[in-house]
Amino acid sequence: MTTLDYKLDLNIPLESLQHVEYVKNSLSPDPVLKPTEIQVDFYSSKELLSDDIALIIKFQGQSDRILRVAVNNMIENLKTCIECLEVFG
Amino acid sequence: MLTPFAKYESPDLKKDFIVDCTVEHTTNGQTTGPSDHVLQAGAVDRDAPSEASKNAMGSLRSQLTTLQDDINVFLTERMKSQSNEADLDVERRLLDEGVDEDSD
Amino acid sequence: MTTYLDTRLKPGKDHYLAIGLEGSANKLGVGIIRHPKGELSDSNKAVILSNVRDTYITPPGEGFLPRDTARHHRNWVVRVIKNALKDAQVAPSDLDAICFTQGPGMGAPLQSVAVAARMISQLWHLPLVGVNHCIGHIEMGREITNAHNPVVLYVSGGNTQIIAYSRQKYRIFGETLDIAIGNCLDRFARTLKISNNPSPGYNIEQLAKKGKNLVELPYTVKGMDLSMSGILEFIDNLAKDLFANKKNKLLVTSDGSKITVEDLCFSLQECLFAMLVEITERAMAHVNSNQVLIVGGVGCNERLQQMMEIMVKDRNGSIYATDERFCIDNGIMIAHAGLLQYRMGDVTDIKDTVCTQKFRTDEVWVKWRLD
Repeated sequence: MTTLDYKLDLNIPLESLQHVEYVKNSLSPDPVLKPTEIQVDFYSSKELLSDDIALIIKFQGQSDRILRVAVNNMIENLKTCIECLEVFG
Repeated sequence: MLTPFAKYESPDLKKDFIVDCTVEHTTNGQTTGPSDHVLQAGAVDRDAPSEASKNAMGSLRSQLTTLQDDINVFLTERMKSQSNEADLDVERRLLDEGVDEDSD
Repeated sequence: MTTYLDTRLKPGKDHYLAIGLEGSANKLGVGIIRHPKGELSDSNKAVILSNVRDTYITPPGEGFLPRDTARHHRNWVVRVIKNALKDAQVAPSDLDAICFTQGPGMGAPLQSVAVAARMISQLWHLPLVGVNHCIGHIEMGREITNAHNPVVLYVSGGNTQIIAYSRQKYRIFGETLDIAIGNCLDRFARTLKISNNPSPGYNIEQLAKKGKNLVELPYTVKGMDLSMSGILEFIDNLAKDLFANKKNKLLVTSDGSKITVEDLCFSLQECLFAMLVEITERAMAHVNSNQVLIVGGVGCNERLQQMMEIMVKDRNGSIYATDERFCIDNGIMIAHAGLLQYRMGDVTDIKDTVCTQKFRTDEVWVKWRLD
């Protein structure tokens, strides 16, 4: 039995809740590569009853190593989403 | 101003990552270049990210690049300092998994 | 007149427009295509409005790794989409669908482009259509060349297949049992440490043109399939001996002169292409067709086209090939095949847009062909 003790929450503020949904829908379909070693959950700030407008991505990993790979890869894809908003939004 | 941030937590440490809004950020990260493998083979990077637009999403993309660098550097340092523990961890997992297989 | 293909035509419009995003290997391509309403035919053709491509090029001797290829695609995808729209002089609101390559290919590069496709589909309120890369090549080849029902030879860096259409499926008659032909040529180019610009295969082809002496290599056709890894290993060893000036009787011709790098490139091409010709000929006999369509990046190779043509002419048939705009991976073929799917009512829910590295040509239901 392994525990996912290495955690990182990423908070990405966006311009509207609709944009939060768009980014979430663009990132969430792809499964994580090693589900036994890392878990990734997406939340709109609204779901967390916050007044902010943001996408919150919670990572829980088995080690700093797996956390680094997952977070870095997610931010890479996030930047594509943000560039789409930047240019076509 | 839309500023991204991150919170890290592990059994031994908590840390907040906050991007300094008072300085300029760019889309060209320190930890997001070509892999060492192709750089060593003489790669010239012609695939850098586009420059950020002068709008809120452009500055968010730059700031997120800085945040990404900060997280990558921090976690890489952590990995280095724990390399022995990580090896033990791998060993433990191998052994544990072996036990699991036997018990099936 | 409205046909079965036109149930999705927007009111007041006489055509469809689709954008296609391709990134399954080292080429990132975005294209925009227009289909006039009604069934496509020799007099009712698709129109290419733009076809933009950017290739990730590695240093000599290096292949492209998924991580760096994905980085290339991520960093260029938005700019390439923008350029494709600009070239086509089309606004997002004019489009009917966003088509993207869902597989087969390399996981990380495929995913990096799919993320952009998902994002613009939501921003522009347009449906997504996941496309099989091989089907893109086949349909684009048919559209460009007017070959109606050919045996298709699909030869690229990742695929080697001999395909024939039957009852709404593109069925695979023969294929490689190990590596793809383009991969075989690329890897030999790496052994020779020749440039990857514009592509390793192109540079092998140029060297082969100067080759005169044929070195006999293993010939490994196995039924309708072929194997190439053994040939690669064999010729790699020959090249190593040649560079090391090691004595090897295969490296000396009957008149005593030395075999050159050019001769090796020539011999490799002759051997691989002869195998492809043999299997293609058998597939033609099997399905009773006299047309051959060559698609995929290796399909640009003039020597392959020439050898295939000799065989096809003997059978009183015709050969069809496209130029580098279409045989090398591109976005327009994804737009074209995706738009055919869209017109038949196939759209992909965003939750189902996960890419898959293995996606066989014969998994796709070719609804748009009724023959």
